[in-house]
Amino acid sequence: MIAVPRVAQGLLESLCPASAFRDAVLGDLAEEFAFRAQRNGLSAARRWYYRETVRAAPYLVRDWVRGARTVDIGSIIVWTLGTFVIGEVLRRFLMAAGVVVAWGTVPDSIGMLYAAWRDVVLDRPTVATVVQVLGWIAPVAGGYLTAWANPRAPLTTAFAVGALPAAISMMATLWALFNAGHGELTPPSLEYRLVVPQLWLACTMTGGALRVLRTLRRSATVSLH
Amino acid sequence: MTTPALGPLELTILLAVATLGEQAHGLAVRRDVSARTRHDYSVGAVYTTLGRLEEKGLLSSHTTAPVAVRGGRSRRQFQITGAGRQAVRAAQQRSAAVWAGFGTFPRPARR
Repeated sequence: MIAVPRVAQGLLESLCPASAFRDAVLGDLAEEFAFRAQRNGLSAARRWYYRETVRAAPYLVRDWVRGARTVDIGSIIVWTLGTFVIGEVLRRFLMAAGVVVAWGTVPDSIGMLYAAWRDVVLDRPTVATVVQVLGWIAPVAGGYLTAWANPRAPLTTAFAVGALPAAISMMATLWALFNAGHGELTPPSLEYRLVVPQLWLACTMTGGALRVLRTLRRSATVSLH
Repeated sequence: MTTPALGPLELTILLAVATLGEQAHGLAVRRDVSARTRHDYSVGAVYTTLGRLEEKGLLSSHTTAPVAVRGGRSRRQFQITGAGRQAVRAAQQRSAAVWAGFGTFPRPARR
């Protein structure tokens, strides 16, 4: 008896709810995996399974989209807004903490916080970097909690929670570029506008994947032909 | 009655199901289609097309009892319907009409 690659199968299962389509795809992959393991060896069969996982993923996401209910869409919107708001609150809290660590003073207002933070960025880059890295905890936690709250398709919903703000942000950047004409873009810079949404998406996906990996069941064992 | 237009992959899969008969489950169809076209189609692509053909009423399917080699999952067995046979015949006639009168490419003139 051999087992199909557990992580790859778990990730595929987390892309859409149990359905005839998902069962058929995963069943075929398991059957072909057993056949290839006998014919070409276990490592070659594993490599084939990972490759097919990547190829099958878009079709499983498509199956989820086709069967998505209003409650699924509502959940994505709620978790997207929640992650964004908590992320912003956390960012300001961390900035305040950074100012306290750097200068030993507590800012009295948001205006003072921003002014003191600019000084931290210029004069204490290590503190600023630590604060900025910690700020990415919010989308990771958002992705994890989204996956936890949507067990039918945890990874797809975590992806949607990251992709929705990323898409809006990219559209806003295109709009700003269109309106800027030949003039300069107002801050933040184009590089920042392009990179941050992708990082946000990567972080929510990481959170979702962490949740999936935590909940992986024992993988199916398949008998050789 | 008009028969629905079929894409190349749809027609190939319909032919594979018709040829395989009792053995027309997803994996066998994928192997047959890949051998016919010499292209390695993904499992998802084949099942998506099988689903579309079923929605068009050209195929019907039923699930078998769970199979150990599939990790305890059942197989989906496909059969071609009357409308499916008609669609294959219509595609064959259309193809024959397109090729009618064509022999071979004329040889390029020698310099």
